[in-house]
Amino acid sequence: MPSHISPSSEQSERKTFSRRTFLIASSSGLLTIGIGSILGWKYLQRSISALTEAYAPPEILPDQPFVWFTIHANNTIELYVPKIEIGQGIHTALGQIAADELEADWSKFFVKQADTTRGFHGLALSTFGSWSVSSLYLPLREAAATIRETLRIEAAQRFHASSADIVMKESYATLRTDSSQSISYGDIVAGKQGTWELAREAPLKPARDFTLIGKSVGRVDIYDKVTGRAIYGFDARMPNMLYGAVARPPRYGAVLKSAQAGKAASMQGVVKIVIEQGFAGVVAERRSIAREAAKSLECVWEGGMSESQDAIDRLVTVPHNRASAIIIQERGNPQEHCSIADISSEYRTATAAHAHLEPQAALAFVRSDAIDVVVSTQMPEAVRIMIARALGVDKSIIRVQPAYVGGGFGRKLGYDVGLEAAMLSRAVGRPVHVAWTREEDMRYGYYRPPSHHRLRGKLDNGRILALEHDIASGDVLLSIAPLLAGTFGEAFADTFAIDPGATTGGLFEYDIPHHAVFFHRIKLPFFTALWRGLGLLPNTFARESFIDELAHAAGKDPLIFRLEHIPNTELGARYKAALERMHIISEWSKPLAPGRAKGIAMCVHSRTIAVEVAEVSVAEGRLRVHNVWAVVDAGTVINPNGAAAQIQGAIIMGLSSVFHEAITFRNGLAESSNFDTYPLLTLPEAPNIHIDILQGSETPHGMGEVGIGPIAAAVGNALFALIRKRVRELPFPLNPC
Amino acid sequence: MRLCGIFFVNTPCIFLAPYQNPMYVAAASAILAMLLFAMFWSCTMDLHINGRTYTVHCDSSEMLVWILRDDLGLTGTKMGCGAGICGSCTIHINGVPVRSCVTPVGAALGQIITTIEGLAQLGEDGTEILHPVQQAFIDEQVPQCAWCISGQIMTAAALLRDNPSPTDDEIDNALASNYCRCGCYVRIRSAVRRAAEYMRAHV
Ligand code: FES
Ligand code: FES
Repeated sequence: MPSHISPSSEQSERKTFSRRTFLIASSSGLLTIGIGSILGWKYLQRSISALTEAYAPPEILPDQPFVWFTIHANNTIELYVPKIEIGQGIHTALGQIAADELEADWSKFFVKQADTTRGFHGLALSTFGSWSVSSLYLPLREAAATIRETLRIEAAQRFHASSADIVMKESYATLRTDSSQSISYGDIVAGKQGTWELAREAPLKPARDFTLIGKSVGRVDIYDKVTGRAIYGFDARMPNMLYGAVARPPRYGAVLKSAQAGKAASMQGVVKIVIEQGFAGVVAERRSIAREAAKSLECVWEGGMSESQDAIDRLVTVPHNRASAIIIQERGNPQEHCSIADISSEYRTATAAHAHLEPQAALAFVRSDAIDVVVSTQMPEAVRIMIARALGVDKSIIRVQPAYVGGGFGRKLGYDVGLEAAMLSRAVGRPVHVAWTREEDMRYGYYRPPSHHRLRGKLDNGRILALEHDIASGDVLLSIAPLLAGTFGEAFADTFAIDPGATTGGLFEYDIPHHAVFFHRIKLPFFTALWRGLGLLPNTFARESFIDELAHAAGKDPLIFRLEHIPNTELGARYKAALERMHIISEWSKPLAPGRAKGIAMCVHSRTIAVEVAEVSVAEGRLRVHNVWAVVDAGTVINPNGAAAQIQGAIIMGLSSVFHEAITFRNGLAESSNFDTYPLLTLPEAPNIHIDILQGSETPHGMGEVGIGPIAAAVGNALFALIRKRVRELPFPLNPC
Repeated sequence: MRLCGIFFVNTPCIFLAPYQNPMYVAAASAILAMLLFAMFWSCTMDLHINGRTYTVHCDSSEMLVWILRDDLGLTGTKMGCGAGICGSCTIHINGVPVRSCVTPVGAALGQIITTIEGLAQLGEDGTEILHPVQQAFIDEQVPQCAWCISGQIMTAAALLRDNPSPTDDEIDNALASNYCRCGCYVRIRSAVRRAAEYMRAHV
């Protein structure tokens, strides 16, 4: 055990916990320590402010924990973590970080989902944007180190030794000079007399002593998931519960003018028909009855969107003048050079659904003094805000228990279905479960916005001299502001007009003397917002395909061409290492099998770099992806196998966008409502995926989204290399040849 | 009202793709007629699930997935599309994988139903022994969100019972209608291969 830590970059960033940020509750044989969010807040703030700048963060009290440990007499340790398990493996990663620093026995270490009943703030639970590990990495380790040192001091007193002589390992404190003198953490806790004094000094372990961080330990949730025991929002149950369903508008934005019970009133099993301002729903004894009754409500809808797809396509087009554009990146004088561009191209990406396999679902039980909600959500605070506002109650009485989430990808806010369950529960005074059908889920949420891109480039002597990228996109984050902060949020969005979500992945990271990126905000008549990686896939598709066009125009190998434009920066050095690694693992310069070709693309997201190569063939007009290689530099990786799973998943999801996914509109409503007309990528279409993870720095970066960025361009670039035809739209046409 | 039960003893679920048994196809119309009859028949029914008998009170046209999940609390069987497309709701009826979201409960009367909760066995000392496919899904660290996973496991278990040494193409085809939005496909493929090895090693 290190009693002294040599200075590292991490050390200088360290904060020390103030005592009042620890909440210690010690009852017989049990130690529970909650660590306040004052310190965590600084880290958490990043994820929140980026999401909703308009939404003023509430005052955080020191006793609102961001993490919570409980040590039991039987030497088991529970860690309540404020991040939600959507499938990304976050509970495992956070557990590894904490258990490693605590020197805990991993086999007796259990990670649990924190909720607002335990004092956790709903915002701290927000799980978005690949930030969970990077935001909690240091705070969690500092908390665990403080507990470890506190236990060490206590053990030293027991053994009448100095702390320096106590070795902490596998949830035991052992005397260095006499290993028969050993006591478990549980026994230290159980035998503690008097109140706890926290250790003043709690050095972090140096990376070379890590036992769990960086190891591919198995997922902590896996047993429950292969045996069907894991409970999701759709699975939530309470005694005496009923089922609810809600009437849906025939067009987006239509307002419910009036509603009549109609046939539903006489249907057997209907418990109550709930008609309120702008809302009509049914509570019934069975789910099927609730759904049928909700469909038979006689509703009159007014207004709303009337457009069909051709109008949307016209709307989402980069305008020819840039009067209302916002410059998000500029260097040199690109306009002058690009006005005589060598190449100019337009790219388009379709509206896409999230298509998480678990539809939106929530169980709510509303009483006058307490509201309980069990819900599949990535953002419990959104559920609380919406319910508090709609029901006119104080937020503090609303307790949200996040369940396992059956896929989120940015869509599982839970505020809509949670509110519906709450409104229906209030009407009947019993718990009500609402789960959307696939049809509701595919139509009545929000989408990845459609985008349109215009790029112009000028070459000089085989290098890019100037480059311009105009991005036109629907809202990604600006649309969320009004949802959470009402008219203030809307005013904010209109003033701000630059959408940090829609522009994600839009910047040029290349060394180009003259370049600029312009953003054109498109206000759409339907709701668009967060989708895995936000603008990363559309923007990277356009940029990286265009870079490929320039490489071919310059007569250069696309990988070498990229290497030649790597800037002389820290990021550039990491890009260079990743590209060189890719050159080797994809056997880039080896001759290809007949009928095959490779394409390359890359991006950076949440400080993680991803370079991807796709190998494709075309048979009978059908494009097929055989192999994908990914080199990913994510800084310190907590769980390499888990990280690889994220990259594999992101590549598959990206390929699904390449091959299949487009939401189109007719008369104000999405045409697709189920997988028959909105198919996803299937197993036979899945390529082999080869992943190489570089660990380029000492801090962890994001993992959940970056992999989705380059894949579409990599496939398009490979297709071009094969058949000399450039595809400039997502999804690709069915027969791209 | 045991009448329903007698009607449906050993009636196979012929229209429950993807594992149609051609020998039953001829009987389809007759069974459909019986089903239609059952649709208007609300009654008390006994269902044999995972070695236990459950009594449910419902309309026999109610889809099995809701009986399992809402009436019986067997929420390990998931629901993704309700239209027989995604495979999340796959269970076994008499060992054949069927999609419980498009299977009326009436069609399952008298049949042996197995759900993900019943796939593992209990050892002599009462410990749970996972099915080789479940074990392989752990060993390959397949699941992410896992909403699709019980459907994948049930489909793969049925494949391997019929075909202990499937080729990669056979694996792909058997699971071609089981969506995984989290994109675990590469691992699903390896896990099914691995499960096949486990099962062969056991025989
Ligand atoms: S839920 Fe049954 S196949 Fe999708
Ligand atoms: S693991 Fe999430 S859908 Fe398959």
